[in-house]
Amino acid sequence: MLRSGGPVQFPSGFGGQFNIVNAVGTFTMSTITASSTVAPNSTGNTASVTTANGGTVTFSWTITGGTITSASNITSITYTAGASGSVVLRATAYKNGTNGATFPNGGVGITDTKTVTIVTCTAPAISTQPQSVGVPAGTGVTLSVGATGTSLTYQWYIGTSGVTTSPIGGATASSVNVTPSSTTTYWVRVSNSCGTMDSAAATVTVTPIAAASFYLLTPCRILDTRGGAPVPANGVMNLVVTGKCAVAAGATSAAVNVTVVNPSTSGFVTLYPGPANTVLPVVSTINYTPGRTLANNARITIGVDGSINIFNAASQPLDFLIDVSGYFK
Amino acid sequence: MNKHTVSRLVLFTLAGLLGAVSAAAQTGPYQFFAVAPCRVVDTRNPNSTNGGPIFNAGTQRDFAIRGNCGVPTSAKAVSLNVTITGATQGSFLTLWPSGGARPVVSTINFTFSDPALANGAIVGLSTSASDLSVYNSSGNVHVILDVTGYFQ
Repeated sequence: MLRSGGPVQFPSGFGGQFNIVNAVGTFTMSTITASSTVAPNSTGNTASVTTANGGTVTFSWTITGGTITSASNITSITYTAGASGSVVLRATAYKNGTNGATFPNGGVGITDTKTVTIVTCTAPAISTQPQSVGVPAGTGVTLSVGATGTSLTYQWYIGTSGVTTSPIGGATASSVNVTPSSTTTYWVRVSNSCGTMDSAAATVTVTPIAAASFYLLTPCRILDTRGGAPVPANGVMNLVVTGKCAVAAGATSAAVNVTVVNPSTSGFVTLYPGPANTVLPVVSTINYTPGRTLANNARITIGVDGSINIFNAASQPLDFLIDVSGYFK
Repeated sequence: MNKHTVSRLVLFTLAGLLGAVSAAAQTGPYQFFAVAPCRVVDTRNPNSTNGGPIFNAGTQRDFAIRGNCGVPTSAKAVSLNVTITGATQGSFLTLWPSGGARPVVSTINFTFSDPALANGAIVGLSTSASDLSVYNSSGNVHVILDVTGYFQ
């Protein structure tokens, strides 16, 4: 389809004449497709446009701040970036001869320019390591890494840090949700064009579901947000329950009455085990409507760290009470 | 009404209550196993054993709790949060172990003006594949069951 010819201007430019056989209509050209940033002196950077319709045109690329090194065809090039500043790419197609293509709006050509910033690459560095955590069996948890560097990519793995035999499919963000069925170790490799950095390993320790007996307590208000910080709108409050109201350390569940106090909107609350980075399960504990103070009785699973999470699915903060009447251990 | 009359009334009422309670069979004792909170039934989902359709008036459905959400087949009772939504009439639900006669109890009462309403419950499970029965008295309503633990 494409036939190259005409002036070829390495290294500062590249171009030629091409002819689309049997083409009819107005010639069109897309804007330039290219990465908006490149590393200093990087090679193999690509830029391209797509064209359609229209007879014969003379087509050219020009570049400043870099060097065109090859072209797979006239409309796709490979270039080497300069040391600093930016690369300016320009693609131009214009009418060639009396039988040349017709252009939009009766013009004689199309041009597009794209500026690519040359960004000095900073190698990855890990600022916050993923943290080990204990969870009850069946509970998901979010592991996260904090890292600095240019244009970072992530891949999480199961196993010993640095051993890449067990990548987790699709786990290519700075955090990952995992629900291991048994105790498992995870780590993450952080990469960019100028290096990689492996995190320390974090172990998710799974506590099996164990038999528990019921311990009766004197009824006791373990949470009352009135006059303090309410449960945030569409947010989570983490609350340590063991050690309060005589709930013993190691308790796996609490028997509670939960109350929503005069809600200003409708919504629902989900109580689920801590720690704060436990994955929110798709369940609900109490549903509420505006202005209606309402209670519900529940047995709430407590996290291995002795805390619970209170998620308020609503557009407004919520005053919330938890009264405990006993616990299971 | 003098003091003696009040006492007699109270005793009479207590005796009546005790009589009613003693008619129910007792099993156990059981121990509690807390599980990760898990939605086991949602009739808003496509039709299936633990999914749709919506409850109609006077209908009973049997759901499979054991074998789902970490509840083993050996479980004798389940700790649930029962949520209703989309009720077209005021009604109530009864939950009980499947296979037996429906007991004259209510697990949650609601009105058609409740967008959604919940109540906690502990309900026995039968040994059938579909081990938990739910009955809706009036109108149409969606039922959601979230498990927080089981007894065995």
